[in-house]
Amino acid sequence: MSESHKPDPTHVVVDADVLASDLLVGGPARDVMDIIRSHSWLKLIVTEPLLEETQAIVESLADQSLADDWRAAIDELAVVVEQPPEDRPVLAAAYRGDASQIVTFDDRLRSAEAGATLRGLFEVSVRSPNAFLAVVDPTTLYELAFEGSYPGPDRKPR
Amino acid sequence: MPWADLFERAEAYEIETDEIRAALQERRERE
Repeated sequence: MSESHKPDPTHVVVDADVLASDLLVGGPARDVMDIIRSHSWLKLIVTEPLLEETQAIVESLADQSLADDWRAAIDELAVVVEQPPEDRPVLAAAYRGDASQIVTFDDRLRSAEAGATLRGLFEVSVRSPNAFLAVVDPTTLYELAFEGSYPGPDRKPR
Repeated sequence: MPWADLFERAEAYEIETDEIRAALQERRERE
């Protein structure tokens, strides 16, 4: 399984709880997404079911119009990869989208045991939004992925 | 990108992260 997963430092999976928190709460979830939104070379990797469950959560906690407009906005930003029906959205996105990182509020996914299991399948770091913000720096990511020095944000985050 | 407008509209709901996590967990367990 790991042979076809080539982790790319610029590919980031953001779980549905963080996507919904970006929209509805703000805080560290929005700070994470602002980093992604403000760098065109950082790719938000998702699957269709992950977007659908986020949209459903937004609709259930807020309203359908906001959920639909969020979907239109995220469709312009995200890279959608295929998800087999039996797979969990966030893991399928990470594996099939060659992501190096998953950002989630899910404690179970971030546990040491889950991390060890995932590393047995494919290399990916699972972090909370706060942990992502503490360790991930666009300058470092850029220099890992490209030649040359970090040029700074290349688009507005909002 | 209409993000600023979306955030402004979302503010009216005063939702907490825990509510989102609970709603998502419930949905995932149901499916």
